[in-house]
Amino acid sequence: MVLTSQYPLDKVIYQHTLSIPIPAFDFADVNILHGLAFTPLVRMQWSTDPNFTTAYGPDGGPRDSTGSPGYQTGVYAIGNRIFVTTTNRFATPVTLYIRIFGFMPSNANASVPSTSVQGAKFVFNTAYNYMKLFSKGITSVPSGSAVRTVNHGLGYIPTVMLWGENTLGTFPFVFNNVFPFSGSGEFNIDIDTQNVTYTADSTFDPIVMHHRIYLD
Amino acid sequence: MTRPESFILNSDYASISNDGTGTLSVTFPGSVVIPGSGSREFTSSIDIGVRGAVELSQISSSRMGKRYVGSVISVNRGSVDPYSIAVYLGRSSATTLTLVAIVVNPYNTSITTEGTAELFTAYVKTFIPPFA
Repeated sequence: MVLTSQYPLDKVIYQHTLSIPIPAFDFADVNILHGLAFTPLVRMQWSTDPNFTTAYGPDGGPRDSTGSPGYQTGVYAIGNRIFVTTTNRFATPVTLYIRIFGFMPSNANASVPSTSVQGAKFVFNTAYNYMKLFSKGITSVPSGSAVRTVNHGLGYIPTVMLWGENTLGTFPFVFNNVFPFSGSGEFNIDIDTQNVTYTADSTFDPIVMHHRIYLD
Repeated sequence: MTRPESFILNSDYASISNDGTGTLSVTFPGSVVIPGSGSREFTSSIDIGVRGAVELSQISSSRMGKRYVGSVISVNRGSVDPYSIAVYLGRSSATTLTLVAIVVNPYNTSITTEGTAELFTAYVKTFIPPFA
């Protein structure tokens, strides 16, 4: 179904586009004020093309001669700022174009400015199946060996977006091991037809996980 | 300004849309000889979603019973000359995702991968962000 009043459509409460020039074999980090009353749950995509002909996720994109991502990117939020990190492992300068979008964490309920594009685009268009938010929440995973589960009980493996939060900030979970944010330990997430399971090894620092589970 | 969480729908705020769903697998065979300081990789690709979509992925291995969230996993293999198989999912064109399994030989001498073939599978869903 395209719409159901049982579950809300998720709402993007932050959008920002920027470009970052990076010299060869160098890095460039920027931070921006987000202007919100809370620290948003941010994600990003990037491209080497301002038109985003091909849009990559963090550490996607062209690879260098060792097979590693040639352009490494990341986004995270601390307090009232959003930080973007970029690295160019190639021998030529590049400009990366970055799109950031964010959601309100489940422990916030604040007024925020509009993000919809009026006029040029439909706000709602039934040609699209908007993502319906089944549940959202926060789970604390303590230090040391720990397993915590979030039960969704849907009977199928749903779409889930995850962010980790520690003393360094809030960052999207896109890699299975969240280094460098949490020391040398490992942290794994498994999603099955009933649960989202967080498993931290004995050396992993405490972390708070934010989840958004979608119905479709 | 409004409180977006107070509404099921709110036209003041952009949203995100479901896009594509797919699965792709790549096998790293056993007994592969990799020259010193060299590498060997195997890839698999899938055409999925629309231009500008964002992917969410989970990756599993035939030697592990779970699906792990993320676009990158690395597994340690080998007892004689330990090595890692790095597996990652990335976009190779506007609507193509490629799964890569690669072993980079960290030694100056050749190594031979141990055990039977290992199958890595990526489960992918894409969604359309507000920009696309």
